Amino acid sequence: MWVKVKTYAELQQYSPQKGEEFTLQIQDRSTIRSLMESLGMPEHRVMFILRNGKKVKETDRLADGDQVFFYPVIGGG
Amino acid sequence: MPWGYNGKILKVNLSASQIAVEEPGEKIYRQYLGGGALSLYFLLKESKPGTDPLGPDNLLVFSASVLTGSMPAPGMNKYTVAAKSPLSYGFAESEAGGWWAPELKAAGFDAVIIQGKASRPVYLWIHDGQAEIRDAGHLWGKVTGEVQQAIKKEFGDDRIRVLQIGPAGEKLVRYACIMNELKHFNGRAGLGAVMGSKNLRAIAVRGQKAPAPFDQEMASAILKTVRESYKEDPAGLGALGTARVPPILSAGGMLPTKNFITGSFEKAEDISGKRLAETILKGRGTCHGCYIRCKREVEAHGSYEIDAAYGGPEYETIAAIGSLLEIGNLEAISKGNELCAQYGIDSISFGTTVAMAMECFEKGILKPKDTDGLELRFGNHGVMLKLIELVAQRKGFGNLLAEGVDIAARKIGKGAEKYALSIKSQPLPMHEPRGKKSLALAYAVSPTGADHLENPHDPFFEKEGGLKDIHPFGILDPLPSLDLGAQKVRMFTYLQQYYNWLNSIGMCIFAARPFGPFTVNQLIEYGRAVTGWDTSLWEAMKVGERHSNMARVFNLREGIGAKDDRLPDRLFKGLEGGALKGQKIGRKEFAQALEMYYGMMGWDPKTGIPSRYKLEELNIGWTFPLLTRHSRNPKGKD
Repeated sequence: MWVKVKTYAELQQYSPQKGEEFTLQIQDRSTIRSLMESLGMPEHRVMFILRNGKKVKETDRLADGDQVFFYPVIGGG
Repeated sequence: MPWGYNGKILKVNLSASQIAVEEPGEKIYRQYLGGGALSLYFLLKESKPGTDPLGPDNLLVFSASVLTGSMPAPGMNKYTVAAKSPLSYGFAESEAGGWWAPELKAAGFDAVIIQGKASRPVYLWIHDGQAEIRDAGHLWGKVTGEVQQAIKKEFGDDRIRVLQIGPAGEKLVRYACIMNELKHFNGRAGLGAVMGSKNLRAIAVRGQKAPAPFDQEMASAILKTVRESYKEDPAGLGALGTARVPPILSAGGMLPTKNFITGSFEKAEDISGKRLAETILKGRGTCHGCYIRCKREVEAHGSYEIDAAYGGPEYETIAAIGSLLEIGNLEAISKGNELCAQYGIDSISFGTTVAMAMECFEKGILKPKDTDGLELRFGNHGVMLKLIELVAQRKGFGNLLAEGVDIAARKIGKGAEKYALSIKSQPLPMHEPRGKKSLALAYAVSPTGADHLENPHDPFFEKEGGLKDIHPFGILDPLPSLDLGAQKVRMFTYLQQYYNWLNSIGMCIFAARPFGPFTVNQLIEYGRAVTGWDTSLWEAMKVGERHSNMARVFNLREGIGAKDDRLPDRLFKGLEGGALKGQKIGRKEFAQALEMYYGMMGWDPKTGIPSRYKLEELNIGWTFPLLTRHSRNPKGKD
């Protein structure tokens, strides 16, 4: 199945071409966690995950055509 | 002989036009290090409770640290300004980076203490081990850019570093700020008004060589290791600045929006660091010795003329005069940032004060006849810009807002106080405690009131991987951001003292873990190399505790205590929109966390008063008698 991924700010470094948005083919019924693992994205660097606009956890399973946005941990300043 | 520092404190009595030098001795430097801790040492020793914050007896302290400036080190360039606050009538402190503190160290001094009030506007000129009070009549009333230029031109030296207030400080705007080199701000707690009340417009410094470190080779080796470990992120703090934050927090439902009513802003992407980089970003600025380059510099010639000399908007400003006011116009926000820098106003306090006024206006509590005809509606960026000028000059409605959100709300009446979001009269900064619950405790117990930099925020420590940075403190278990139980309080208690220690060594949080390259233990090693002291993290954390306890004593003797460690009502109500809709702080969970914090600090769990045992253990037993000499000082409002 295909998912559309967007990585914000510091998390861009984990996208395949270092761009902000990309589409990715992944195994059916993958979890968000396995998606992150395949990108080499450490969990502790991610503050929020939105799946189709809703806040979700790493354990959520993805569906074909999902839009997954990853936001980095920030704080202060 | 001192290594890394001068051993000299400059004391200036503006009333008597006298300058003296105090040499406290090595043991004082070792126990207080610099920053807020060293400032508190002098404030408690030499000022009395009940002093008028805008009167001549208020002491104004500028403190670098034993480590500042010895070598170009990332983040190691800050100073603290401290005094009694004209907002809280308690302890005021605010830090800034930039270039002034390393230059002060090179000029021969570690700190400057200002007493009294000059009979006419003056500025201080410190260079090569000497100091001189000079006439500032020709500078008074001018914007900060003009004053900086005039001083540098007067001595024909562009490398003079200028610290100053702006016209707002001259007019005693209660949240006027201090800055150095036009872009680095001691923003909070009204310190600009204190400086203005002394008729002191600026402190210019110029030195030749910073005090040498004890072990130059070791210090260099540590800095080299730190440098090698730092990998610049192409889309991180350096590239996009703190400005990258609004869309991130908005997605999580915790971007302060519409006076903290809601947590998401549909225009968050329009006011982001990415948008800035695509439009008006001219450059990335930095501070002495730092390669992180987190500062923004913007220039525009479109709807507004914006001068890059004043830098550019950082996150707090983008939120405070942006999302907080539902303003999604980045150029207007950037212009607002420039005006705040020109006039010397804390953009955070200004934003929170205007948000109160806008909410009052929209609810009919304020009418056009009260606001000089201005339409104070959320989203009205033109009015926001107009208000900066009116506040800075204390003109018309601006004169009311210049008093700060609490006094202004009280004078407006008709329930306005419900919309005044402040703690100890310090307006709330732009991080949402309902999404990161340690901030509920941090805001409430911060000695200066509502400080978002008491500790690294909760999201860093939600997962195992994030704990590595704080393993040296023995914090081993991750905690959810929305937790405010005993273990979260423990985490806050330890990390508050960590951040106090960073403050005391003039270290920027962005260059130390969890944000930046310096690990906790590398900072200790660096400290040992610079000072030659056989020191440790244990000793360092005790300095942090000393800061917390002295600040507590300072406030208690001004009548500020547990009753003031509170949160505005709005935070006990649910966020009205965004991904965290309905999320609130529980009154019981807050009360329990507060008691737990007091207990963990070694204070009375009910009253938050430090025990004599704790003060003696920290070797500040001399402050214990001060606790019993309370002032009956009414807060002097109205």
